[in-house]
Amino acid sequence: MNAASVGTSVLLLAASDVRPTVGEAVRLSAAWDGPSAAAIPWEGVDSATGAEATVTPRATGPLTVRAGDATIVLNVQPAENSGASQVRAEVRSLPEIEARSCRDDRYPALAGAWVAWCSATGRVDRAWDIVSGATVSLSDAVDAPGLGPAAILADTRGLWRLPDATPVPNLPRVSGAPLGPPATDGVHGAFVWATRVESFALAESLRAQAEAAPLPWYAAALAWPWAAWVEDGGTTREDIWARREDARRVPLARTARDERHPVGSDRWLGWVDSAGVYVQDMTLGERRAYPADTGFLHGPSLWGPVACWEDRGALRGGTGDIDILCSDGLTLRRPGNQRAPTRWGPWLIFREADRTLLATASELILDDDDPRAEGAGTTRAGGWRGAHRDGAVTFTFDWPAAGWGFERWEGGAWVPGGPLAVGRVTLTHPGGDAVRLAPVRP
Amino acid sequence: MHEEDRALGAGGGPPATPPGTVARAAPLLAAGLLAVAFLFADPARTLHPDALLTFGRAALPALLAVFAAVGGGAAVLRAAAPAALDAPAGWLAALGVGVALQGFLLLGCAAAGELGPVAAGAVLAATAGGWATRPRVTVPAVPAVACVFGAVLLLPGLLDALAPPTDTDEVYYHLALPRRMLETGALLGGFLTPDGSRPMPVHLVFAGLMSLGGEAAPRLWHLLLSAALVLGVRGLAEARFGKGQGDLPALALLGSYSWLREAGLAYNNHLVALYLLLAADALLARRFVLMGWMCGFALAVKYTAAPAVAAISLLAAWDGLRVAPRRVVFAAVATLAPLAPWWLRNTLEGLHPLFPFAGWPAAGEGGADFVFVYPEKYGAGHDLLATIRLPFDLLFRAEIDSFRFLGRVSLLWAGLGAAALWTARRDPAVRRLVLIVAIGFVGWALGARIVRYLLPLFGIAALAGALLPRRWPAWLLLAASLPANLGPVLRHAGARAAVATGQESPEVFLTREVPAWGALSFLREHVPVDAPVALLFAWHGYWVPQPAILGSVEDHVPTRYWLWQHGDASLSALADRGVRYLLVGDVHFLKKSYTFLSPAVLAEQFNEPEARLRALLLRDATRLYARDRWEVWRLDTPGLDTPGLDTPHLDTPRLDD
Repeated sequence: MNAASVGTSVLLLAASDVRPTVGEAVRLSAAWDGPSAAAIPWEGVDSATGAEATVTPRATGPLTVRAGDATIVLNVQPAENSGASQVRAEVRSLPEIEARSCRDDRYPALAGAWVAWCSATGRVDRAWDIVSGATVSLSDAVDAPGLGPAAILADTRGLWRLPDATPVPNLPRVSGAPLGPPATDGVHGAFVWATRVESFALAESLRAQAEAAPLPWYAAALAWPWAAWVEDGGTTREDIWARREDARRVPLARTARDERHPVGSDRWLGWVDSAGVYVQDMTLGERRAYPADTGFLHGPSLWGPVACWEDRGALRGGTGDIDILCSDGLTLRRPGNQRAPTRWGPWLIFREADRTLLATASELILDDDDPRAEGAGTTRAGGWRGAHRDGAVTFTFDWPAAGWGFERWEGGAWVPGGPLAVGRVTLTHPGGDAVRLAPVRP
Repeated sequence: MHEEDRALGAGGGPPATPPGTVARAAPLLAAGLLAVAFLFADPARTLHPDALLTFGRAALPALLAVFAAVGGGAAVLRAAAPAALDAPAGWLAALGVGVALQGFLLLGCAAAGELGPVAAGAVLAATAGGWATRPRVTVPAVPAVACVFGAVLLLPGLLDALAPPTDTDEVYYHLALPRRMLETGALLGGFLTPDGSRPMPVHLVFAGLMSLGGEAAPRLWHLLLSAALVLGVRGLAEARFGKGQGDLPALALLGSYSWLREAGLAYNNHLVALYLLLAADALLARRFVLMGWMCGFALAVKYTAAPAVAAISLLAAWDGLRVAPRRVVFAAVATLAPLAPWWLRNTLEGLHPLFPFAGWPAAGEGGADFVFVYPEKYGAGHDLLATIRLPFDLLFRAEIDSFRFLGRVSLLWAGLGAAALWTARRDPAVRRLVLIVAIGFVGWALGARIVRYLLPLFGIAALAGALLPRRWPAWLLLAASLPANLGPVLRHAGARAAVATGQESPEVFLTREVPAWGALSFLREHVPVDAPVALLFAWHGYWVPQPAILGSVEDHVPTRYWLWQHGDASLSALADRGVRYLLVGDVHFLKKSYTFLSPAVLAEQFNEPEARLRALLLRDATRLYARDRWEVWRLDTPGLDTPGLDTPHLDTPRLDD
């Protein structure tokens, strides 16, 4: 440890893959505190540059990486999945929801299976249920609410639990104008203020605070108990900071790139920087990175660990325009610019010229390397996309669409598994391989 | 007690000795101290001490500048035209000449790159030195009632002057350029800051005042000049037409929304009116050379003086060419002299001498130039019927918040107009004034029909109508239109009272009053102060602390021209000039607003640049902030925005454990 390392501590470590395979380059990121990221004392890595390091496992089994007091253990596997899914979608226009109806162009956006949009007031005061087609007129109009599953959270006006048109009574409300939209998962909320960030259970009046200097306009993000926001780090420019359960501030992403647009869903926090989209499992410390040219207009959207974003790679390369990509393979490449995606289950709403459109995925495949896959088995060769796990894997996620079922990949074919219920769903594949979600054909 | 003293004195006792200086000053001092103590300790906190300090800091240089200008101008007049100094409006002429002198001296400072508080102080001192020549300056005598009445009507202007600037013209031009000139110490101009290529004598004075007293100083100075114009009109009317004939002309000014609205702002229309009034007065007195200078000063302050200057010059030629041809020639030279430095400067910079008013040149053959302003946009139509109906529309149909004249005037002007036409039959002086106003009005009607552009004529027009017979129910005209004129002024002032008196923070006020304040706050708090910012379809230069380029004139010409000129390379061309950040307004040029344009021009000069910018932003920039119609973008400059993974050495404070 040299002199410069004095005062630098690492609060958290994340790896791009916590179940890598032999020979796979794993990128490690340190949430650090101190005068210089160059002083981070990495151990067990192949190379390190400041707050980021790389290690390439050479043998199966556990591989421990340390940086100061922080430790992460990689479970190195003998095999890995290969290739990626391409998911098609059916697209239809939502003529009643004008794309430019809201003064804040982050809306219309999805609040679970609802589209929160604006009437002539220019403020969010309508919600349209994708399932039933019903529209709810909210009792009040709000500028930039936080959106969660069937939940709309505003500052002084409280929480709407859709389809109720009036806010939940007797919930403690906050006063003042936050710097950006709050975040909610329907049960908890997070607000960004000029000098602090608050996150709390909405039913409680006790609000945990963290000192902060959030940049205005950017929304708060919530992956309870974590709450994230954007700060100007000076030489590190925009950074993502998060509040831990113990109320400590943690610089989640703090490099010389511009980390921005935090977003949260379930236990995942996502954001973008000038190189791509990142989705971090705040429980496991796995940070998946999706190279992209994004974040220039709207932030990404999360449905669990599934991120969707605008990509202008083709536009800048002179070969196309702005398209929408999702980390689970759902892709919208259409003539014209597709912008402002928000995703929930099979649904994705986006804007194209002056129209709001709804895309519905034709199918979704959750493989054993999906961030939602839980199962301790070793990854072996064979199966969907060339690998599967020994033993069962379980997938848990929120599912909004009725009329869908699931199938398991067994013996080289999709085998019907049963209908999908709406709500919190847990699916198990005893063979440790992929499941496919698709509309049930009558 | 006093009775007793007198009785004693009358009885032959010792004469009562007059109180000494200390005895006289002691009560005044005590009362003053009590007043100050109360203001600072006011339990209701009606006037916050900070607001008092702001006022004091601004009022002192504003008063000093006026005092110095009168002294300097009087010294010049004493040497060059002593009769003018002795005339009823001598003090006003001294003020006008002094202001022009200050502007000219500050031009020299700016040309040397030394514009700043030292230069401003030196110019004030130099012009105040004119008092050392002991010129005879007669202070106008005004009844106390008239003073109080006028002061009450100007009170909204005082609140305006002390509130943070929100007026469009101040924010993009009148205060923005002086602030930028102070930062650089020099003049601005060219296609990137086209407003800086206008003649700027009054803006140099604004800059000097701002350097000494903050943003309120030039506005208080302008308030003083507005009061001076009212007093000048009143004094000239009484001197020419008799006692009591000055009140209604003065009230025509004070009773007009458009005139009152500008009183407490850093504007230039009232100063033009002042110079034109002095020019007309000099014409009537056959002081042609002084008239020429006043015409030149008026033009240098604002070109909207041109029709009236043309009329005055024609009358001077008519009157003087036979009897004093040399003086008329000198007058012509004097008219052009104040403009010469500005025209020369533009020419040397490769611009049209009248840029930006002459428009932005289109490259290639067949292309239409980008014009400075489309007169057709303003007023209540430009066809023959609308022109015939113009006086009626102006009095009865003008709107303060739409392109239908963008202002309002008192109905009293109808009475003054009728009186002017009536008395012009017999009074050749009034006939001349009417002719000047008529030609000025026609010139105005041929251009953009905005009431603000008509203000330069107000002084002369008020004087021309001063013989309004007292038996005429002129007060009724004033009273009937006073609510419509005063109401919006009071509403406007009411919204500023709290911030002007320190009851409300400027931040809260600006958040409420300036729709773009969110984006401006972002620039002010999160963008390096030395990073150049391009204002694209935005005009808020005063509130942008960074060096700002482009911005807006009328229909956003600088931005549209840049996008038209550079095409798909527009943003990279900005990056080449060091720009990293953009303040972008979301505009939509609708066909219904530009029915007078051909579809080709509307497409090429308006719609295509607008669409091009949106497309280029998506490709070459990253949005950092958005609120309502206003956004801040950062240019994705290769090499700057794609750093490696290394994190530089940081001087970051430790986190709390």
